[in-house]
Amino acid sequence: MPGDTRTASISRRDFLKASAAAVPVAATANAAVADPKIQYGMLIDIRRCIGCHGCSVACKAEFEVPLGATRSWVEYVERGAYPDVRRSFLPRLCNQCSNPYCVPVCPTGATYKRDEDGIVIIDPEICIGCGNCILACPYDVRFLNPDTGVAEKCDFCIHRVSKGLAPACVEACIGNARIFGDLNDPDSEISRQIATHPVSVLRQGVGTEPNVYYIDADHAGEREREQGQYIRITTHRKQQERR
Amino acid sequence: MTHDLVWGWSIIIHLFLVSLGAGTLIVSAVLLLRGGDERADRSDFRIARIAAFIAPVPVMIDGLILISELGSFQAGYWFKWLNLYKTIIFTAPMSVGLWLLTAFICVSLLYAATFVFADATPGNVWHGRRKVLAWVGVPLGIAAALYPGFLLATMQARPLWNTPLLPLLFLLSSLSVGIAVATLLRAILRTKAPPSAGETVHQRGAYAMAATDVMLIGGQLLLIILFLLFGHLSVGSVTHAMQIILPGGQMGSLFWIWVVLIGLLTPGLIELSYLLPKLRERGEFSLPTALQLAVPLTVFVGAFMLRYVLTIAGQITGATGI
Amino acid sequence: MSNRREFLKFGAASAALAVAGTDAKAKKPAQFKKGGMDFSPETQKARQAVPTACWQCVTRCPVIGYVENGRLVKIGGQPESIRTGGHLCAKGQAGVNQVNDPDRLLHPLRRVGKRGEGKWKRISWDEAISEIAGRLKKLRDEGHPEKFMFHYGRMKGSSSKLIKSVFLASYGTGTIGNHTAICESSKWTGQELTWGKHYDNWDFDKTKYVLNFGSNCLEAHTNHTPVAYRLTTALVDRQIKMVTFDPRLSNTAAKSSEWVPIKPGTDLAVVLAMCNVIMAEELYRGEGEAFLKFCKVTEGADATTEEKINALKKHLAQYTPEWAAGISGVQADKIREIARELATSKPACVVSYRGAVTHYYGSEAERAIQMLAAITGNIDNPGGRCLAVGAKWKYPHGPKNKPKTKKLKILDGFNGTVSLPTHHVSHQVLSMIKDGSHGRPDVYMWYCYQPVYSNGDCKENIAILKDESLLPFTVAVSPFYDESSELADIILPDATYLERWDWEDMVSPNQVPEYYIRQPVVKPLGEVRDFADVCCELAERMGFPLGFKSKEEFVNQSCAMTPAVKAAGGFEYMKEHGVWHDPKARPKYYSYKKEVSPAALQVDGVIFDEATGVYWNWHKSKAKSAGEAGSTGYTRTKKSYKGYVGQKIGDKVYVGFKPDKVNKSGYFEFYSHIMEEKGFAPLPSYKPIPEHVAMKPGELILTTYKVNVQTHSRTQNSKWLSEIYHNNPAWINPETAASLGIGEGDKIKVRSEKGTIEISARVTPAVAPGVIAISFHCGHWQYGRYASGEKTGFGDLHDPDGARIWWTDKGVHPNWIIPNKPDPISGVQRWMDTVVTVTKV
Repeated sequence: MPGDTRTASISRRDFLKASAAAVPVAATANAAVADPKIQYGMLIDIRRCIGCHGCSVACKAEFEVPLGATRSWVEYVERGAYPDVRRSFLPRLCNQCSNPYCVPVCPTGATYKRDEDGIVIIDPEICIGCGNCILACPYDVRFLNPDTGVAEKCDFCIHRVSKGLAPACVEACIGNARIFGDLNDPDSEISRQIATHPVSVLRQGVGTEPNVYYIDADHAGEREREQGQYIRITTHRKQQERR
Repeated sequence: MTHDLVWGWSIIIHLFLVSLGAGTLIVSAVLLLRGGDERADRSDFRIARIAAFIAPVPVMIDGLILISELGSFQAGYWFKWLNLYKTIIFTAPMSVGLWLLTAFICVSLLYAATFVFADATPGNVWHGRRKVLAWVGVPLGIAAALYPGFLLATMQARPLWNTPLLPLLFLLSSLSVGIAVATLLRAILRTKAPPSAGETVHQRGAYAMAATDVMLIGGQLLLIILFLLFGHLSVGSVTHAMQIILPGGQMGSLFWIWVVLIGLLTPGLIELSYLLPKLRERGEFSLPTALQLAVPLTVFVGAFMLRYVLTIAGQITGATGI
Repeated sequence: MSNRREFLKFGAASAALAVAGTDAKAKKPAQFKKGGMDFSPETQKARQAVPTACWQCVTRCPVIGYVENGRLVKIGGQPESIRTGGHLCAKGQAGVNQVNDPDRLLHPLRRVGKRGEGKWKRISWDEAISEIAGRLKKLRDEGHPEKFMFHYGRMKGSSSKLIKSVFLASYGTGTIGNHTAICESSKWTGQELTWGKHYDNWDFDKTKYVLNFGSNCLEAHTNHTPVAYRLTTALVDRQIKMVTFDPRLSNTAAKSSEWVPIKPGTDLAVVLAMCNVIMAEELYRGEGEAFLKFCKVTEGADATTEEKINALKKHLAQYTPEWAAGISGVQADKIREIARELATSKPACVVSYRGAVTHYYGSEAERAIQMLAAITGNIDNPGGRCLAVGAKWKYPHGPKNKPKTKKLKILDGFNGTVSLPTHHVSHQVLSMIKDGSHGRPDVYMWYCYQPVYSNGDCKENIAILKDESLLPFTVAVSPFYDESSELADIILPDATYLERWDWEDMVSPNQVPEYYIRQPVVKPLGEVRDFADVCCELAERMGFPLGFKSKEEFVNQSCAMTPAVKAAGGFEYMKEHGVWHDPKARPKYYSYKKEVSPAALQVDGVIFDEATGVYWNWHKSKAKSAGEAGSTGYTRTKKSYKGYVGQKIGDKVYVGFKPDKVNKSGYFEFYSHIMEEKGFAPLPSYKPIPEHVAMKPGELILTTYKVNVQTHSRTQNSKWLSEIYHNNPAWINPETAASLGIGEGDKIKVRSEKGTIEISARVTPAVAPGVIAISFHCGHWQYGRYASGEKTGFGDLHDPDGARIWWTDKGVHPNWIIPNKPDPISGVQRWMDTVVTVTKV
């Protein structure tokens, strides 16, 4: 009953904004996640990614993301032995998980997954900046905005998407490596591409059920390094190590 | 430390102060409920009374520190933290913890208030209420002592934290801290106590406390062993994260020297060495005053460092692979 | 456009509904639109969209600037552009930071302390212009306009026409320096010698195979974004093969099907060996053989294809793959394999850039690469290496009676050092000024140029620019306080490219010309002025008004004068759309195959040159009479190439390969009389790099490179770029590092004949042994807080990010230790030839 959850969610928001000392109501994340009509997702075709950082800068500009923080970034994974060396690129952003770890830990309910499109967002009016969600995220996509003290992350450019525009990083991508669309619609381009290509998600093992998919991603990491392979992961972020 | 930490000093202090307050309240309540107000020398009662006064203070200070460290507060939104009180979210340890600590502060303040009045001695009008509040205080204290562990343990993304052993470890540590407070108080108050009839009773109390503490310390060591074993037996992220506190790891020496050696082994072995004569029924338990001051201090240092190491190590380790 | 925007104001839900139709199931559009508009995430309001053109690199993509409350907040691609297809790279997007740079210059400045001391006084524009106009007018009145030297870095499109062709030409100085020799002039000289005009376009839309020598086109390149997105598409959708020769695994090499590491400066040997294989194994048959009809391979003008083939085989016989393997480190079998693949994949595109050509004999490498493309039949064909196509603007030429320009002979290097400086030898200019034997400018003005930082031997550049006895008066025209502005006497604060007008004409990757303009996205901040506007005023004050008051007027008039643009709607159309192309235009290929109309041969002055088979109009040359032209001949008459009409091949006259800058025939010339006359081998030939021959064991070759988020020296003030790339550890192969006892992150000393730099090491198998690779983007000591960490104190823009710079290592500039040495043929700066010793600190 998607309609019901939607209503429930709205009343929850209203409640959060309106009353203070009323009877505490438990709003679990699950209620909001259940059966969204649309689940927006992204498919990043690494074959087409040339590591140009067009997405990183588009995002910086779109939201004036402060220096030191990143909503969207590109990691370089370089490995191999001379002369058989390869470098591949891994664009990163919020996975808008179907089982988001950031949502249940939020003590104010500021972070929630939207019923209507499955995008995980933060209500800046409610967020108090406790940082719990930042640590709860297994992808390190969140940060506290130093000016507002509020947690921020990629929101698939809701302000653009709601007006029929592609997210800023999708528009900026030189290689057309990013496909944005509704994963619940089998006829959408993203669904068709996922159906016809081998795809993967990041850190599948942690159980977050990401909605950002990759074609041909290089998942190499510490394990390969421990096996004695040369591997260099460059994040181009303030937090230099991949987290 | 080159890492940018989301949770820094304020959270470390928070985790310590909550444990301190919770432990102190529990010990106070237990001393009282175990008949501390009925004994002749009333030493346990005096300890319980002062401990009751102490208990709410760290938690309240902690609240102020936490608020001041919130992103919103630091950005100039002074009252945004009140949003916390507009809801309760059972999946969010911080939300549950907030209500819990609020209740803790209320109960511990009321409990302390029952000791305030001049005739706050056993048998006066506040006696009954005091006992009721003590009964409430024990589970509340335990919950508050468990809470920091839950806060960390519920984060699936942080392999070092994501274990149910953590709340238990924090609980034992918290109780140990509470006993350390009581031991300190006993050492301080003893000088004022009449050196007459109550001596043996007093010693009996001290013995029970030290024995309990040794068990708590033993329990903590056991949990740490299980914790490390768990890391060793697990695969991937947890094993990887555990490296950081193993000898040679980034925080290895901090953990092994400050937490294990100074914070657990030192007080545990000292107390045990003084307990042994009585255990073997070859003498009385008597801890020299200097050690009565030193042992609690090592417990405090150890408990603080445990929180320090875990808070930081948990943040700078994460899932491996991508 | 306006309709849609109005419509969007109704709000999100209705817009989405309308896009998706009335389907109740989906509340989302069928397709998410890319580009053309943007909204504020805070207010949800549409941001004002202003079509303009980028300038962060020479590609100059059409873009759209998005303005919110009068402030530029974002730049996106121009979806109407056929060049970019709406794409825009990181650098282009970070143009926002150029306008909003908190350290930018906002007022004219006059030096008050010693030169270079850093003491400045703010002056009015009137004072600045009066002083400069006074000095220039005096020189001009004294009959020495050439003592005004104008030196530009990037000056293109209308800026170039207005400033150079109109203002400086009307003033009368020919002492105009450029920067091509520190870029890729060898490539252009090589092309001028072979197919005439310079600039090759790579037709990735249609190619099936790409062979790349030293181009990092997925990160940099002169036509970066238009080419990068086409190449990526070709690699994935059409599964084409791409092989990249580069000493370093650039991102381009990483995305190639195959990376072939090569010793720096030996591409020429490998290319010649590939030509050898193709000729020896008769792989030229087909398209290659057919194309030879249009090639000049032998001394005579009318050799048969048979003769040409034999001559080529004979010349190339010496260049066996085994020979090349010994020089380049690339295995002989690999060379054979790739040569065969190239010759049998039709069409294929042979690509080259700085990695192959900024060497000793770099222009020879380009000639050989041209030959390789030619014998495989991949010249100016769909999917091959094509003659570039760009917009042809018409523009007002200013005063009618321009004086004959005079110039100081300091532009082309020292006598006898460079034979064919068709794009000058800019890196020698300062040395020649120091030398003084060909005179010195009284006024040295530079524009969009960094003489200190962009040339080799920074220390020497600083010393010369500081010396008032060598350069009595210097003027910097720059929006920023950089390492060169620091040494000026007057700084004119230039408008950034987002605050000025231009028309632009950059090459189209799809062989269809695109017309586009640049217009101010925001009003110029502070008192900054577009230097072209200043030129209009300078001209007026010196008494030769240009006929327009500003660049805006110049662009406006150009729109009216250019028929295609005028027909499309002229200036108003361009202001609204920013970009225009003829929707009916077809991609331009095989232009050389067009026959010249008999009428064109009957024009007065057109004569036939027996020796070359060229029809040419002697009036357009320096010849004084038809008789003189006839007896001196086409090849030896000065500027005869300007009168080129057509090339006689067999009994037909073709448009052929029109010459430019040198008097070559209309053939695609393998065999060059011009080279021969200058004492070089007429056919592309190998010569080793002298410094590399003399290398001692343990010495390394220093190469430099560019990365995808920085352009030369010019973008490091862009905080979004410098946050991503701000330091430049030296890449060194693990084997080489081990032999020198160097580990990852170690501080190392890199010493050349010019000095020593200290830099940290990055030990990586992504670079060939024997090489040390250092990018040249970093190590600024001025240019504002984001580039160097130094605030200039001249800007007054608020930027909270200024306090959030988290990186402390600003990298090291390699040019301190790279000497300025010209290629003896083209004069290109030999960036990649420097021999160094590397030691651990």
